[in-house]
Amino acid sequence: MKILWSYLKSAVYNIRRNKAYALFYVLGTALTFVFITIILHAVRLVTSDESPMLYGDRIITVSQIGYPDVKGVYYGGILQTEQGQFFHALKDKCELTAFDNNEAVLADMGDRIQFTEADFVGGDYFEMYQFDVLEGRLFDRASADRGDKVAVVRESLAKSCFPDGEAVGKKITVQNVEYEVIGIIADYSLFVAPTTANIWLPYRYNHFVPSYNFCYNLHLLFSESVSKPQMKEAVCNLMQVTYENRNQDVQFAPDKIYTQREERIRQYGTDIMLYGAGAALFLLLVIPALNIVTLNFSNAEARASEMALSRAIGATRRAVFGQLMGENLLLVLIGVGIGIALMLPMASGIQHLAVGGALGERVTLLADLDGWVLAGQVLPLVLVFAFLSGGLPAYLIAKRNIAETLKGGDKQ
Amino acid sequence: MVEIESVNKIFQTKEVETQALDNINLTIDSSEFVSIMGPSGCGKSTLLNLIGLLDAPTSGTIRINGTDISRMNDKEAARFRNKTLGFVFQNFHLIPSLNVTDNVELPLLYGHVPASERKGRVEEVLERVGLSHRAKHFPAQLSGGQCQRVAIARAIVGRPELILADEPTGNLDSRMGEEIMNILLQLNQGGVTIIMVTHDERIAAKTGRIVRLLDGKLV
Repeated sequence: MKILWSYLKSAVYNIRRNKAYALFYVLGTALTFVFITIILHAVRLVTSDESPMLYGDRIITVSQIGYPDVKGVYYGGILQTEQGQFFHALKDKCELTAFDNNEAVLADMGDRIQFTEADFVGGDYFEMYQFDVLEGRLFDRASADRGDKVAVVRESLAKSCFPDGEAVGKKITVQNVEYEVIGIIADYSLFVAPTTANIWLPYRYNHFVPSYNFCYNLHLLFSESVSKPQMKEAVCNLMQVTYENRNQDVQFAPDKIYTQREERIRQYGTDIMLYGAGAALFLLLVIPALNIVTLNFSNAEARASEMALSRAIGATRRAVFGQLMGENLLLVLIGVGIGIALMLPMASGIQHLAVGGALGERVTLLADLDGWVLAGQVLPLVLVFAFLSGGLPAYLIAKRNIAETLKGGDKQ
Repeated sequence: MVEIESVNKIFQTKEVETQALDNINLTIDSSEFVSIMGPSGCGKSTLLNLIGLLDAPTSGTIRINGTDISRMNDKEAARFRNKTLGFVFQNFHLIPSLNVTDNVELPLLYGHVPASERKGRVEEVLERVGLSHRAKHFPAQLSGGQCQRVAIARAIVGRPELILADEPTGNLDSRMGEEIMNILLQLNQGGVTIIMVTHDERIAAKTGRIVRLLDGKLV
């Protein structure tokens, strides 16, 4: 333990003596790991079941804009009038069914009018999508059917429109209907978003304005006993039947129908996820590591005499290597800590600068830090980065001839 | 204690090959105080480094207490340096981030000496070199003579059988040099074998035996 304390003192002394080295090292590492952490979080969100998409593997959404047939021609979605029949046909295979229609609206919130997106929802929407509720409650199927004039809002909208922190109980007017806010949903990432809405309202008051597209998105949560091919087959058959009833001969293909999770992966590009993220991580690790290697070479050179002395009085090569790697790891960890602390502000900055124009305030790029990503993915990369950036200089110093090194030492 | 047989050391670069030591044969008995003298570049420090396992001979054998030290791997050599040898360098080589106590304690840490024993041993050697009152000072706060005394304390704290001193008075004025020599002489009287490289005839004269080198050969 005492020897580790000595190493730590040496490391701190070295940092204080070489402030520019330490600063550049830490900032370089911080910047690297901001982006690495963002990428890993994005990959994790897209490929795993995260709230609200806990059942992403079992949900198929029949989009309101329709599906392509086997020739790739798009056919419109399921009309409001066909919806009941559609759900009824799948009642044996589905645990939950829900529907929503997303409309751009002007929401009047008392002292403020905000242009935003509202989702008119019905069925088991809030059971199917497991949103984190920050405050209040959500409304259910019965409430939506009854036409309770209630609204649920997203955290960021609540914060911006009700800065006093008391959104629940306030009134919102949308399409000339006044609703009472009954709950606040925590922000969630763009990568797991079933919708880009900021307000959820019961479907009963939906005027389909401004879209005038009288189709809902139909959400089908299949039972666990139904396999993925069976889900797709069932949806495909039912859509064909629906079109036959319209006297249209359309051939849909099951392999063009996707679960929510597959849809997300498709949306962000399977190849990009697999190779793009991997390549980006590789470059993000290797390029800064190579830069820092040069810093480490000069630092290790300055420490060579001290390391040679350590070996002269009993340290093994492995101990010297370990000491230098430990110091390196200390700086990397400081940098990574700063990088992780900066991740959410940086993601927010990217959201505003890069995609803000297209998506406005509607989405959050990344909402939270994920402990599993930090412990299971970032931490191993930290070790790889520390090894890449400091391994070679430490090894070369540890194997250096003691006598030759001490001969060049100054008075210390 | 130390048996050196037919030792050669050749330093080789791309262009030049330099024979630093040429067929050295030397025996040093236990409790001897031996000075190695000779002009600059004659191989004094090289010989000391070979005895101290800080470098390896090109050929020949060096035995310390009957053990052939040239056959040791890194771990064995580190342990041997820690347990059997103590080093005193002209440039002191103290670690600037550590105070006097921590510098002296370092060999004991590498030697895995229990904490309960370490404290007493460090205090004892600092008392012996007259630096108890400087225990919490850092190297930068000490004079050259004090630094060398710390270096000696570090060299003897592990209770080595052999101390290797490479011009220990070379960076000190004559009064400080005298002080350091007195400490080394006391250690030798206590039974520690000392091999010292020096340029100074006056200093060497105080030791038990003088070995002279010229162009890498014993003369």
